[in-house]
Amino acid sequence: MAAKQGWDRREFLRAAAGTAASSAMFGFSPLRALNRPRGQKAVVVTFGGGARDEETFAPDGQENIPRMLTELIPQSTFFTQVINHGILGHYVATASLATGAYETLNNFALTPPQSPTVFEYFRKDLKRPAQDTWVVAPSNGFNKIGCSDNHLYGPNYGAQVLLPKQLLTAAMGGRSGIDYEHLLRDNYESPTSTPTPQTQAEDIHKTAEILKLSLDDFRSHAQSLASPDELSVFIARQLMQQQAPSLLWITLHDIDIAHSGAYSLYIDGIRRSDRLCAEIWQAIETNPEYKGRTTMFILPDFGRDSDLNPGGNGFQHHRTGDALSRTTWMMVMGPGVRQNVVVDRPVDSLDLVPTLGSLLGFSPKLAKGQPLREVL
Amino acid sequence: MLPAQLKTTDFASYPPQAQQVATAHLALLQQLPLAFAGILLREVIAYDWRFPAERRQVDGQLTHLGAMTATELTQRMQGFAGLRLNSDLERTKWVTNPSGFMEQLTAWLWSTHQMEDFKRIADSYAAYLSEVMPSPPPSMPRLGIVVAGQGVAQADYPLFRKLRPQGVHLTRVKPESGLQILMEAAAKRASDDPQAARSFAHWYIDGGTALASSGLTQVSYDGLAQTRTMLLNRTQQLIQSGGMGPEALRSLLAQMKPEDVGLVSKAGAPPDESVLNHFQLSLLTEGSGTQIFATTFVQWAARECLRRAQPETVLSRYAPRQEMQPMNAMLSGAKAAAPDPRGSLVDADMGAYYTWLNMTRLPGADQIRFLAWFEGHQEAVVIGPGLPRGTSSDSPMDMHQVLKLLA
Repeated sequence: MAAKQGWDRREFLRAAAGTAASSAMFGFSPLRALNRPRGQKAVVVTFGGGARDEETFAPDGQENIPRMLTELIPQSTFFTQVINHGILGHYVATASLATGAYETLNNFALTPPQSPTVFEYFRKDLKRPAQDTWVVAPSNGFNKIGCSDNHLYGPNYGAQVLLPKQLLTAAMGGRSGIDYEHLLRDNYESPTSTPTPQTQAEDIHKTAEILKLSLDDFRSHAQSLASPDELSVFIARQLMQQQAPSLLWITLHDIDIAHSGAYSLYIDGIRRSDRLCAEIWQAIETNPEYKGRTTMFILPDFGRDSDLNPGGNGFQHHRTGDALSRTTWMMVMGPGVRQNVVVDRPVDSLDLVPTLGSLLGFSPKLAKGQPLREVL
Repeated sequence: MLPAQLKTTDFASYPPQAQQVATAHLALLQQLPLAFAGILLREVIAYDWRFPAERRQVDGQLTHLGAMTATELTQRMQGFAGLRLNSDLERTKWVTNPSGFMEQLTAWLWSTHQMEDFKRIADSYAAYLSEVMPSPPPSMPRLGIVVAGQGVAQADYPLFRKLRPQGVHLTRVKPESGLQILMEAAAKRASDDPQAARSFAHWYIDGGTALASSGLTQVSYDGLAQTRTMLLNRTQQLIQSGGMGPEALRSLLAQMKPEDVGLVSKAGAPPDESVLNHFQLSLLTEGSGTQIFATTFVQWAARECLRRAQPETVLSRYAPRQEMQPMNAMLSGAKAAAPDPRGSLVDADMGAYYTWLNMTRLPGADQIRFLAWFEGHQEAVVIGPGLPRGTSSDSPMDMHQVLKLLA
């Protein structure tokens, strides 16, 4: 089933974007070593709420991802089968992506990952300062994703975690949130929204200072945004402008409105994510700190249930653990990455961290998975 | 406690019929592995509120397993017995709260990477049951009708794309009196069925205010407005009381009774009313989004009534859901936002496809009759035996003629 899905994606892409199968073109000798730019950076974009092929790469779905099909995929190496063998909850799955090990923590608890995160490996091995790696996450439940509780690593090596909603809540400072409430949605997996973590006023001002953003400007801009993911991307762009972190991790989650069962809102989320991914790439390409030295990875954390599995309710959830809910895709683009190429072999979600390690030059000692040779 | 230690007094808190069923099969229950016993008791404890088709399934399963020799039973339960459980699960109140047990079992299976094994074992067992005790065929071919698009003047969306390959796409249906004709057709099927009143065989589900109907089991979003408000208020109270994770909240909601949210059976009402009240409550406590979106409510209600009651007629009519609001506002029972007819049509289009898919999972699938209609408009799709797949027709026809295609 997973293999069939990967094959379908390749055929869909071939029809839509004229991509070529990788093995026909290259033997995958390591190209990157030949032209790795100095000051290499990486931006990882994950979707907390996968989108199925029916609504994306299949013929009827392609209308929902025009920017990916026409702008991003032609520039990327595309993996058609990225399989997640772990727990299909968004926090725990994103934590697994970030650690390169299948985490078993409670999806709905404010707890750190058990294994060291990619941010800790990056900072410790490369002796990077705290400001060089950031996470922008949509849900308050992601507050602890920046570092593990592993005694060899931990908070001294973690990423700065920015929860735009936390910032916005603080910026509202007790005013009526009526104009901003659409940006304050929390996760869609549960009716119990995670409470906003307590933050000191001085921390908020410090963050605003880092972003070179007055709270008034932030409030004003936030009013013009349509969704939490737009707020996240706005914040990520500010970070890129002001801090230019070498490792930036952005988690989107508008698509996960699918849990409400409203198909049209799920489709709206896919279209918005498509646009935002293109905008993130544009931000990379127009920022001198990033242009020509940044590899971007885009991948859903996992998929959604198949229409054909009677145990689920189609697009609404990701509860069945079937092949469709476990098998997703990844696109990788940037200098030295082959363009317009499709990789059919199955890879594991856990391969992301070792790949980032090989790309940026750190050693993720406790991560499982293998570096993806096709993009190194 | 382990199943071998079960006693009849352990079922003292069960409703009367459930208690009777559990007691009658105590010897069997004592021989089952813990994981399976908990799953089975979740069905048994709700026996009094189950539909006839579900009771038949529980009875049949207990009788079948009870007739096995000890060796046969051990062999059949081997997969479930092989799951690695922990002692915490044994200490849960798995007899009196099997739903809570299931929540914990699920979390345990996920965290120990046994979920895939469990699904494989459960699928294999379900396939075995279907083989040895197949559900009886319907007494008449099943008919599904989905009416979508109320309040939409013009669709800017290609409707019924997923259904068209299965049947005939009609483009010149005369919409006059269409809804009334469909309601009458559904009611006639109920009146022609002597068992209809007792068997929950003919349903009408409405995403707005229900129209008058006769002989149909009726569920509507507006009809449950008070219940939805009470449920959302209760949910808010539970969340605000603190320390309430989603699993705990779900377990608490699962233990609610219909009367807790205003679904009270009238004095002297037949037992069926209580069964329906429990079903309606389950739509709101087990469904995700059913409390806030009328379109989700209709889709889920149709799915659940097909899965559980295995009816012979289902007429689902979608109505506009509210526009998206912040989730916290919707869950707090804030005033509904303005309707979103266009988005609701897209939701209903997918919901129609899901209803057809769910019908194909029931016995007699090769005889299904299905109609999806864009309410007030000329567009519809019909699926049924003898109707050519993936075709279209621009012949003008009224709704009587459309139904004749499905006769």
